[in-house]
Amino acid sequence: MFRVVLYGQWKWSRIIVVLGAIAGFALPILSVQGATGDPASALRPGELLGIVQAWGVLYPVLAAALGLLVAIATWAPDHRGRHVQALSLPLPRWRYVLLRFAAGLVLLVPAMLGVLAGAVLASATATLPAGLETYPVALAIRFALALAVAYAVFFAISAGTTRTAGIILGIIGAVIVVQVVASAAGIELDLTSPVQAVVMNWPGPLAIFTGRWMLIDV
Amino acid sequence: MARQLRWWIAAPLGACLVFAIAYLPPRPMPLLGQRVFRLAQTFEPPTPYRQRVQELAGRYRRTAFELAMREYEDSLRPELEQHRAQEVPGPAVYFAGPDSLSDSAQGLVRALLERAWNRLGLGISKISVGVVISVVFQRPPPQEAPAHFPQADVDLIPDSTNRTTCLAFIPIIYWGRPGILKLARPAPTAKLAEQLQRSLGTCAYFAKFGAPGQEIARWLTSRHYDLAEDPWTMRTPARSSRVGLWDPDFNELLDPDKPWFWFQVYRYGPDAVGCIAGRPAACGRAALAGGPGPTSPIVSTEQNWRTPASPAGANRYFADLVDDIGPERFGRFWNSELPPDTALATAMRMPVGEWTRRWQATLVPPIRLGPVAPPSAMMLATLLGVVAVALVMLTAKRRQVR
Amino acid sequence: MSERVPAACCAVVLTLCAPLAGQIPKLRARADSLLVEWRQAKQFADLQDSLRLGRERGGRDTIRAGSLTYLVNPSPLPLAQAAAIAWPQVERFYGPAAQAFAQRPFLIQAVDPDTNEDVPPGQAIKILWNTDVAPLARALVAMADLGPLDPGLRDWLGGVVVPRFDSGPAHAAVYVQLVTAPSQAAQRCYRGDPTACRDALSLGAMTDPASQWYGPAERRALVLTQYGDFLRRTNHGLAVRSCEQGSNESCLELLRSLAPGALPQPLDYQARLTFLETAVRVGGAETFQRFLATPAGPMGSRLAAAARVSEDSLVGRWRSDVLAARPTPVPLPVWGAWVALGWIVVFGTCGLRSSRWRVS
Repeated sequence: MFRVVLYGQWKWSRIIVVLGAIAGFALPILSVQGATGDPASALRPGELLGIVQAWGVLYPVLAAALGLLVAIATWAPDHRGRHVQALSLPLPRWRYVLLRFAAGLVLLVPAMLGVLAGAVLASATATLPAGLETYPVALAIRFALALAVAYAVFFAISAGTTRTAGIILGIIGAVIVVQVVASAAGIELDLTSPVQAVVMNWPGPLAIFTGRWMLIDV
Repeated sequence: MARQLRWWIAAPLGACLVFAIAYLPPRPMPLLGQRVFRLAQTFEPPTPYRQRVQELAGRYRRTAFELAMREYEDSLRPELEQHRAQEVPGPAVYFAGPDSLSDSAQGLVRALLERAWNRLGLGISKISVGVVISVVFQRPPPQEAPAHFPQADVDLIPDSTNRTTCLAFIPIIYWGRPGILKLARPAPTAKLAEQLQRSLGTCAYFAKFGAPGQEIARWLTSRHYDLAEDPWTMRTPARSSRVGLWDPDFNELLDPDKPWFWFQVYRYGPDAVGCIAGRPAACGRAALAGGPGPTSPIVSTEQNWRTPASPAGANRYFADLVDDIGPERFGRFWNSELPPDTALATAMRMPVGEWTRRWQATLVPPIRLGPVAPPSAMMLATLLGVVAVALVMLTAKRRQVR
Repeated sequence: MSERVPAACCAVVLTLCAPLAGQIPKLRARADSLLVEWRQAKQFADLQDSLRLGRERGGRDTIRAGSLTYLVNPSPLPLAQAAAIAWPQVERFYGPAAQAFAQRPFLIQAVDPDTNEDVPPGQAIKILWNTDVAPLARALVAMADLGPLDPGLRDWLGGVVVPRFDSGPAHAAVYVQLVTAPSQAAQRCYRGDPTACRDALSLGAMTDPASQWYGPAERRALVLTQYGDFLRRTNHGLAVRSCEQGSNESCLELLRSLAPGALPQPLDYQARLTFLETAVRVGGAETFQRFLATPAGPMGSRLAAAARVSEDSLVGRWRSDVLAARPTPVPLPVWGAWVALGWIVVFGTCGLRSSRWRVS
């Protein structure tokens, strides 16, 4: 049963998986451009770290994007068919959900491996100034975890009804509208910063996405 | 199906291979910012002739300023001799500079210096201290020769030619702004008092503890006494308070809430960054490292913005150490003939790296290096994922076809 | 005994002085020789720089338009046409003073827009060679800056002299500044006070800008919103609190303690440029030449003397020009409503095509 579910999801999301794997492989390699041993053009440690930090922003973006797209691809056919095929299968519904989730997770493994391979290759070929180290495995592990979390969250949202999605979007929209109106009226009301801090900074649940994604650091 | 799948595996692998061949090993030019400002004025590096001019200007400035300081020392000698002979506490003060202060202003400066002297507990000093107050009210007109008077506090520390005097040069520069010392009868302010106390700087250590041991002196001289820039506060042995009391600029630069925080952190060397991250080994290396460049009896507090002193907040390292362990233990370290690492560890009663790590944490909250997220964040994220999937499993049970 | 003590002291002093006494002449000699060496090295470096500049200028085409001379590498850049358009504008503004450009050729490097090759470093001004004539002519006019001939003018303007007579947008922007700037000087100038206009444009000797430009409420706002953090960090916390609680003296003293030039001016560079332009327009072609001949002093009197009118008259004329350039409020073009209607129809059609409305 799992193979069938996996094959179905593969067909719906193979383009995303392939492109995601290539992007994951490319990202670490692109971030270490400039880290050469050529003394004429060698970057100072601070400059190299700044560049790596700037590229590091793309890791959580890639994780979130891949998680979103694969999650949507997982549930879109079921929504289109009004879940008739899923509900007619001879297995418990919770097990069906688990199969879907596991299949999507398996399809995200190429992206995780891509980041790992790219990070290891980039670390092996980059010439670093004294005092700096590479962290390819730690980066790959963090990316894998962030990707899995993003997929799980969007999996849950995509599995919900239109009304659920509407409620979630409505709440987000209401916060933004209240903030904009308050700013326009000159009222000192800051809703977005505390919400962002609670959700995205530690100890928020999405803190794994924020912070620095440094392949090279001290 | 298997053949199709093979293509879907081979194609991305091939793409990755092509990519790796194209971009590995890394190219000299980073991709970010490479061609963004092509037409902006491209700054040429200075020609060898200009570099020679700059190098000669630097040597001239150092020599001319040392000459000026020796001449001030000469002028102060009678007063210094009198202080030594009659065992008078306090520094000898000399007012220099293109502008002059009123008698009241001079009296105020002398009184504040005396107060600072007493506050530091210097008493009858082991080495005489002279203070040169250079007053500049207006921006000086352009000169033909390179300007050689610095705009930061500078000390002429005792050396082989004169082992008994330390001279502190304190510029008070207004450049057209209103200033407290421009008034005919200025009143003392906390800011001026703090500025003058802070300006006693390295000379305060010589005054209180005398000349350092040979190894200690060699090590500190190679570092231009950067660890002994700020004097202590002579409070009870509680640690000095957090950043903000003495050095508002440092506080502002290394404030984790500011957007330039990481840029400022990476201005420091790897050992200093490692120390900020709480690595004791890095802290030890940062604190005990010798310095580059030629040694000179002139010690300046002018900040090196490209490569600041290591560890972060080095200017107050000894000041906080004195406050922590007390002047007696510090004095034993200062006068010790042991190597610096042994002498410091003995005075601190713990490894140098450990004390430095704790001290650093009081100035800058420890940072995380590398990409690893905090374990708590990883657990929370995992929990979120599990909860999300569990919710879906629960709601799926209730789904119906209508 | 008592005679031996002074002798002993002298001996001690002399012993201590000996190394020092020898060091000062040595240091003086070293400093003098370093200074001579530095001067020689500087002369040599200046010579090398001028030779390098000469090499950079070699192999270039020379394009002349009036007194304007351009040295440019061979390329499709339409420099001659643009220079022919720029020169009359420049001459109209500067008058006979424009002859000064004959001594200062402009070095231009025309750059290929279609490659990613690095542009060669140097002092030349880099311009893409596919630039059109009109924007190129505007750029050449902007480059024709005679401000360096008068340091006082450059300091007052706070930017380059652009020899262009504004057709309206600049004056309109100044109008907006007069109305909206949080400065009593600007607002009183708008209402017709010539002294306030002189203060806002820094035409006189600004002995106390904090009180000449800003009223009590504006000073308090400046201290609290713009300089509050800085002043608190530099141990002025008590004074800031006092200002916050309404002490006008505290606010004034805090603003006076800032470095010269730190206080924001009520009217910006654009406004001063329009004033300069007004003076040139009123005084005619030789105004700039006369201005360069005036002795150093407050800019208002210099410009008025150059324009051969009184300062009040010049200020009044500038103010009238600015008021006449009042921008059109809510500029909605006539066709705007039709465009909006058109888009409503387009999106409405898309919505009606939705499967939600279709039965099949």
